[in-house]
Amino acid sequence: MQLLIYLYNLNVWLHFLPIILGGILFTLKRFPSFLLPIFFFCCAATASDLISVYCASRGIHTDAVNHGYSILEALILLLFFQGLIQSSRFQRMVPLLFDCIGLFTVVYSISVGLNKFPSVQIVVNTVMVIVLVLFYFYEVFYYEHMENLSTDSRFWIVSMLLISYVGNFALDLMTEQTITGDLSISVYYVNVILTIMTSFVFTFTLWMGRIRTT
Amino acid sequence: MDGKNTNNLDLVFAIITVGMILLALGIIASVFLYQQKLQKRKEQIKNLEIDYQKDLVNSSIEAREMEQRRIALELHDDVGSTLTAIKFAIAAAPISTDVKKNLNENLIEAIQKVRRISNELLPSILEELGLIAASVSLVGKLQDQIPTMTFDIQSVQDPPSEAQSKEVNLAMYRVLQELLNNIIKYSGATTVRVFLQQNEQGLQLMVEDNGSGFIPDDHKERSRPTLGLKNMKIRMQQINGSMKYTKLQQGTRVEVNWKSN
Repeated sequence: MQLLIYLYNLNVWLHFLPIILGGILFTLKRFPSFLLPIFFFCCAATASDLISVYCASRGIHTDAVNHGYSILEALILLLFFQGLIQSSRFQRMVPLLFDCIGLFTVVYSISVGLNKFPSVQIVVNTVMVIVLVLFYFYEVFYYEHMENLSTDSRFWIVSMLLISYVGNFALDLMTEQTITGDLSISVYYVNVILTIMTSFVFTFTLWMGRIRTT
Repeated sequence: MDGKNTNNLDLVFAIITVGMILLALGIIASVFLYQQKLQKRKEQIKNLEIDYQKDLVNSSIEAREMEQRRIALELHDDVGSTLTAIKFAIAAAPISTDVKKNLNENLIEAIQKVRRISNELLPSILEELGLIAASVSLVGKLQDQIPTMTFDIQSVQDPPSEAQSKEVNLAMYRVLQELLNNIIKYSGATTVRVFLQQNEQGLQLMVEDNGSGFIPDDHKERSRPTLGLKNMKIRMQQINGSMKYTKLQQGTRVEVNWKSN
């Protein structure tokens, strides 16, 4: 338990890594514009974590924060994939997806209430990310526009998103069981470790994708 | 009992999570490896296309050399001998001396033109006396033809390497011809300096002018490289030589190197 708390705190602090690097790259005018949604994603995750920690320390219910974060998360990631996926059909569908996600979130939040963990919303986000990642992978073959995937920051971000969302999928489905105690708290190790890995990968890819001066 | 249920649920959780992560890793690895394979294949096709283009240009250069050789020999042996025969016929013809003189002058001019063209097409001096003599002769002729420009050639001639074949000499000579031609046509230079060194290690050619300055890479941005530039590049590739352009404060320096080993 002590280790989990330690890792959770480390994870909160590690959220700042990509934000700090992004800030430095912004200042040096070397921030790659296509990674802007990822930067906002990191900012939203950090803000959500800090607000949750603050609320928890004051004994305030944090599920409203999770509701807010999950809608932001879905919209930011949709924005990221909009810049990534070239298919004109997908591009035409993006406004509709934005509307659907917005509408679903509002309806869902009202129907379950802000005091309940938005597990369905998170599962929907996860499914959306998995589908978009697979679509992106399909385009990697279809367009053959990428010279070398190992040096392409987008590929590593997308791969990390897939691992992270797929890894957290079971946890999202079984959140209720962790609250009721049917599932041991140690399952959160998966979430914390994957989030730490995500922070490292995002930092690394920001550095990899920076605008290089000749 | 509750503890047992929790353990079972933990196990289900662990199996689902590990399975999902392994599946994701498998997908990522497959995408990565398959894309690498596609890229490799794409690169192979690109290399094949480049090789094909090279072969095409090589064949065209070789065909042109052969055709030039054939025309030069025809001009020298056939047209040259015919003109010489006419010269003797004129000498023996029962016509006035003034007309003979006039005809002879025209004929000598024609013979000289035929020789010049034949020599330009197939520089016999290159085969007879070697690259340095042919280059000195070429520069000398250009100086005679264009008196408004100053041509200067300096050469160092040591015994050549055994690897310095006729093909190497011809390639270097053609490159020198093309470089001088480009300077005359495009640079607006008034002075051209040529330095040619032949030794055991290979050949070093340097051509410097005081014209407007030219770098092929700059030129490439504006349009496709010209045939002359392309030919020089291919000729250097054929003999494993190298070319380096340097833009000077006024003019351009081109260094052409061929190493024997």
